Amino acid sequence: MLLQLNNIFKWVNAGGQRLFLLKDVNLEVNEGEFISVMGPSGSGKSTLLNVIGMLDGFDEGEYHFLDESVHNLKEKHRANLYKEYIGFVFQSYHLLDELTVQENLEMPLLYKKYRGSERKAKVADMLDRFNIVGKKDLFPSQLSGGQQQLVGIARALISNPKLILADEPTGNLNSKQGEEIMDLFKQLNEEGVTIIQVTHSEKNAEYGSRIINLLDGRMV
Amino acid sequence: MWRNEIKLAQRKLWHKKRSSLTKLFSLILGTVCLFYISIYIHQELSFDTFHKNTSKIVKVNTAIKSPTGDLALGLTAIPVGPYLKSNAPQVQDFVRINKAFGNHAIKQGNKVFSESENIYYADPSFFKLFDFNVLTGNKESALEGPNNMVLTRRAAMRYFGTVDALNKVLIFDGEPYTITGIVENLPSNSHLQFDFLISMETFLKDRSDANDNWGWFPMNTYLLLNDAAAMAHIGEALKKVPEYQERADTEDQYFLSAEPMKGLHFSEVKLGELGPKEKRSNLYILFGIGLMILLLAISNFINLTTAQVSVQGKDVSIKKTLGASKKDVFRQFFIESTVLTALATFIAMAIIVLSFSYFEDFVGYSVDISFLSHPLVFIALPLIPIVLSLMGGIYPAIMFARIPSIYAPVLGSKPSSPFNMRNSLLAFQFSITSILIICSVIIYHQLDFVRSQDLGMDTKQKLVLDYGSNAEIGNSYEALKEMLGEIPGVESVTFSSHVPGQIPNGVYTQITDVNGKRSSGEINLNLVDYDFIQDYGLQMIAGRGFRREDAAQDPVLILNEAAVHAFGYDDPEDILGASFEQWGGNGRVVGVIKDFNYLSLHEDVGLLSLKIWPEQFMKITFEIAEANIGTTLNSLETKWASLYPDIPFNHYFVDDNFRAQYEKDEQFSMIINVFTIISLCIGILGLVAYANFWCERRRKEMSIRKVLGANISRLIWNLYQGFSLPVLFGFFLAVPVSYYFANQWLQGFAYKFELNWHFFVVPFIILLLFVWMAVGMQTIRLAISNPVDALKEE
Repeated sequence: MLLQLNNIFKWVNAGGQRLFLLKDVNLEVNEGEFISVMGPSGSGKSTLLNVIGMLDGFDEGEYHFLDESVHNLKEKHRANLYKEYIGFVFQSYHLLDELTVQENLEMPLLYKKYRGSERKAKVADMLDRFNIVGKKDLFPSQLSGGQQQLVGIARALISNPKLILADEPTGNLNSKQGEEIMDLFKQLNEEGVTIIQVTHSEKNAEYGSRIINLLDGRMV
Repeated sequence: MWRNEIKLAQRKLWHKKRSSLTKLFSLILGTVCLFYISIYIHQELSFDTFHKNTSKIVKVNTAIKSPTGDLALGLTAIPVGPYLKSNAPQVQDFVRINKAFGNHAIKQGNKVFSESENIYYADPSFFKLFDFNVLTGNKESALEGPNNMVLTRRAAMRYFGTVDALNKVLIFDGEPYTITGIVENLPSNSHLQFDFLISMETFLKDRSDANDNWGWFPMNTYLLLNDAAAMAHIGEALKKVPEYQERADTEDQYFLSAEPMKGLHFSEVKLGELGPKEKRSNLYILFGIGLMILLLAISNFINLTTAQVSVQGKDVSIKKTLGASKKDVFRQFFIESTVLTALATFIAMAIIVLSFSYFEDFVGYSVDISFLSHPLVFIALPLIPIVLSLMGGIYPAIMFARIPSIYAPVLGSKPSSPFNMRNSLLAFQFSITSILIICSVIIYHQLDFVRSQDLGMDTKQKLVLDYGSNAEIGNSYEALKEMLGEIPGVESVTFSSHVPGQIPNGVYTQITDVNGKRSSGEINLNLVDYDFIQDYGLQMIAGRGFRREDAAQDPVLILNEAAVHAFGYDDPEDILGASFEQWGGNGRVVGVIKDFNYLSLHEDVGLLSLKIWPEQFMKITFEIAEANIGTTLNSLETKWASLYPDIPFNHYFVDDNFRAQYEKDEQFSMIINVFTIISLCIGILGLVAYANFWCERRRKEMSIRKVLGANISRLIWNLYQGFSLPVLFGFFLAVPVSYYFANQWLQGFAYKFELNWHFFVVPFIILLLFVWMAVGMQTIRLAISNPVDALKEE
C-alpha cells in the first residue's frame, strides 16, 4: 500500500457557511496502480490531487503515506516527503520560462542536494530516455505544447518518484499529442510508477486501471 | 548551485530589461551621488586635521564691546602672542600670521604678476606648529630675519620654472626678497592657504611701536599648548592679560578667547579670519539629500521587485512544488538582487573614476583621496552591494518566499488600500522629489531676485584696474586721471580704495551725535576721489558732494543714510556740519548719500563713510563705452605698461566682481538643481516601470470593465487617479519640510522676496504633469486595448 486517505474533510468558510471541498473521502492506493479521477468542474478533483500531493492541507481525517501519518507531520517533514516520493505534472506544463530544457529538468535535483556530476548524469539520462537531447538548450517558448509536456513529465520523473500526480496533463494539447502523452503514462505505469491523473476525458480515463468519480467533494 | 542561481538571475534580469535597467540606473545614480557627497563631507570634516599638533593648537580671538555695538574679531593685537608665551605656563609657543591686504606686484626677471590673498607674514615658529611639507630650506630658520620668503611649489614654478629656487631673489612691491624655503603645494583641506610666506620681521621692521600696541588687531594668533588638556585652562590665562582689564578711561572693552583649531572650519565667521568657513548644518543637509537619493533608488528597487509578484508568483509556486523550500526561494531572490546591486556598484565605481576630475572642477579644489587606497576600503567595497541588497532585496525576497505552493493570484498588498507598502513608497519618493523641486524653484527665484534688484548705484560697463597700494600713484592721481581719460572709449576715470563688492575697512569714528555728544562707532571707510559719487551714480540727499579742492583743505566726510541714523539723526540735513574724528583726521560732515548696496544682498547696507585721501587709493574705475571694449582694453593696457611696467594690469569688471559674491549661492543652487533632476529621474523612471507592471496586473480588470460598457476616458481617469493619489500625498508631506528649509536658507539674505503659495502650487503642477506623462502612454494603451485578448483563458 502506497497511501491511504481516511475520512478526509476539507472546507472553507464562505458567508458564515461551511462550504465543503472534500467530504468524507476514503481512498486506498497501492503501488503500481493507475488511477483516473473524474468529475464535473468544481467537484474537488484538483483539491483531492493537491491534498494527496501534500501541497494543500485538510481539516479533518487521516492521511497515511508509506507508513507516515501525514496529518501529524510538520510542514518541513511533509515537504521532504513529497520532494522524495512525488512528482507533479500540470495542465499548463509550468515550465520556468527563463530556463532551458536541460535546466528545467535539473531544477528538482537542485533542491535535493545532489552533486553536480550526479545531476548531469541524471539529466542526460532523462533527455536520452525521452528522446529530447537535441532540444536540451532550447527554452520552453521554443517548443510545441506536446514537447513542453514531455519535458514536464521528464522533470516529474527525474528524481525517481514513486507517485506521479497529473492534473489534466493533456488538457492543453491536441488529440494526437494527447494520445502520445497518455501512451507514455501507460508505459511508465507498466515500468512500475504509480500514477493518479485528473481528467475530463472518458477516453483518457480508460488508460487507468481504476476510475474514481467525484461529485461535490464526495466520492461516488 | 550558486552558479546556477547566478546564471538564472542574470537571465531573469535580462529578460525583464526594462525594470532591471531602471533599477540599475537608479542604484548607480544613488551610489554615485552618495559617494561624491561623502567625499565632499570627508573633505570638509578633515579640515586642518593633518597637523600632528592639531589637538594642541588654539586660535586667539578678540571680542570688542563698545557702546555702538560689539565686534567679533578673529584677530589679536601684535603683543598678545609673545605675552602669553612668557606668562602663561600652558603655552609652549605661538605663531602670528598677517595676511597681506590688497594686490601686490611680484617680479622676477621680466615676469610680473599681481598677487592677492595668498601672501602671509608669519613668525619663525610657523613650521613648528603647522606640518606643511618643506621641500627645501631650513624649517626652523627659514622665516627668521627680514625680507625672507618661503614659496609654495606652485609659486616657485610660476616665477622660476623650477622648484630649485632656494636663495634666489624675488622683487616684492619693489623690494628684493630672498627665497629661504620651498613647501609642497598646500592641501586643499587647510584653512591656511598661501603661496608666499614672508618673515614676520619684515612686517614689523617699519612698525617699531606696533610691539606695544594693544589696540591694533592685525594678527591671526595661534598658540601651541603643552598638551590637549591645557585647552581647558587657557581661557583663564587669557582673562589675566593686564592691558585688557576693565578700564575707566574708555568705554570700549576687549576680551580674549581661545578657539580650538579643530573646529575652526565650522565656527562662526569672525572678522579677519583666514580660510573658508562651512556650516555644519549644510553638511548634514547634503548628507541627508544623498541618503534620500539612495533611498529613492532603493524604494524603486523594492517597488519594481514586488511589482513582479503577479508575474513571478507562479514560478515560485512551481519551484515550491518541485521541492524548493522557503529558504531556497529567499536565497534565489536575494542572489538576484545582489547580482544587480553588484553590477550597479561596479558601474558606479567606473563612473566615479571617469568623472572624478569633473567633480574636482566643480568643487574648485583637488581632493585628497589617498584614504581610498586604504586596505579597509577594499574590504568594504564588496559590502556596498550586499548592504544595498539587504536594504532593497530583503522585503521582496521575504514576500516571494511566503508565496504558497498552490499559486493564487491575489497576493501581496491589496490594491484597494491607499496606504499599502507600494503606495507609501511612491508617496515617500514623491515627497523627496517635491521637497527638492520646491527648494530649487525658491532658490532660483531668490537668486534671480537678488540679481535684478536695484542696488542704488550704477555698475554697468565699469572696469576696475587694481594696482594695489602705491602712494606714488595716489599722490599724482590727477595727472594720471587726465592722461587715462583721453584714451578713446574711456568715458570717465575715478580713483578709490575700494569698489562695490569689496568690504571696505571698518574704522573707528567719532561723530557728534544728535544730542551734541561725542559718540563713537565703527564705520566702513572708502577713500575716493571727487568724481566717485557721480561716476557710480550715487544720489546725494543732503549737503554737497566732493569738490576738487577738498583734497587740499580740512578733511570733509560724506556719510550714507544708515550711518546718519546710527548717530541718532532722523533728518539727514541735521548732521551736516557735525564734526568728526577718524583715523587721526578731524573735519566736518558735508553731505549725505542715499543708501546703496555696496555689498551683496546677504547683508543690510552697512554704515559707510566716503573721504578723499589720494595716498590710499588702490583702484581705478573706468567707465567704458559699450562699443569696441576689446580695443579700449588693449589701449588701456598698453598705456599702463608704458607708464608702470612693474605694476601688472590687474583688471576686472565691477559687475563680475559683484556677482562673485553670490558664487557660493550659485554653487549651492547648482547642487540642488542637480539633485532635483536626479531625484526626478529616479522617481519618474521608477514610475514608468511600475506603471508597466501595474497595467499588466489591471489588464483583466480593465477589460472586464470595458466589456461591461465603461468608456475609455473614464477608464483613463480611473487609472490616473491611482497614480495621482500617492503623488498628492507625498507632495503634502513635502510642503512643510520644504517651507522650513527654504525659510532657513532665505534667512541668510537681508533682502528676500516673500514666499507665497505660487512656489508650492507651480512645482506641484509640474510634478503632476511629469507623472501623467510617465504613466500616460501605458494607461492609454491599456484603455484602448482589445478586451478579448486579456480575457482569454489559459
